[in-house]
Amino acid sequence: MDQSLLRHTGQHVTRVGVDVQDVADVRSARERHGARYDVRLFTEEELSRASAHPLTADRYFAGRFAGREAVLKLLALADAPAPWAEIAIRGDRPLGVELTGSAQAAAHRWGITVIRLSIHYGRSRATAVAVADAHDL
Amino acid sequence: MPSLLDTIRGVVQAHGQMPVDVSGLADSADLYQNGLTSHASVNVMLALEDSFDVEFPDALLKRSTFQSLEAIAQALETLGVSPGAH
Repeated sequence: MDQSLLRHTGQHVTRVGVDVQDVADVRSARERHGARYDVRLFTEEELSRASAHPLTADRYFAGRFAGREAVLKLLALADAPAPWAEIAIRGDRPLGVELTGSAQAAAHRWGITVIRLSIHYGRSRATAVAVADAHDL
Repeated sequence: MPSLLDTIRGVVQAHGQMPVDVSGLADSADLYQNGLTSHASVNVMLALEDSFDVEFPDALLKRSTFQSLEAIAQALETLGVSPGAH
């Protein structure tokens, strides 16, 4: 399930990206592909945090994947190359979002300076919501 | 020997977690419209790398690369995979 919402507020809009990721799918992918899955999708900081995080690594990575997808939807980056590498989710509480490459360029087009990201970890799914103030293009 | 498209179809069937029978899809059918999720496309990508002993460069890691079986075949051909039997 995913969606990108747009709420008008005068000359500006609030852009919202939402994504839900099944933890079991992440577990299955990690079992099938091993460390390649982790390394291709996540930053060194995330890999380091996952090993020490109170959540299982599968739930943690499900949340991080959902977080990236939520940001992709917020930015309307439907076909950017290597989108996962261009969206770094920093820290834990609060979460920070750092963009590079085409993701950074898209944020600039929208006039977005800050993306607020929230990730909820359910038993079987992780849900991410990304919100940002943007220009009304 | 299966063709390149046949091998790709098998990989997508095995790793795409799709709600439809991939064997019944046209080569040009939109895989996302038929239920391929972003996360499952990562599975497909990694499985294709294993099957064909290639690595997808960043430039090809985008949604359109995995849009259809024939789009995947075209991407693999740019990586030096032969369109013939596999």
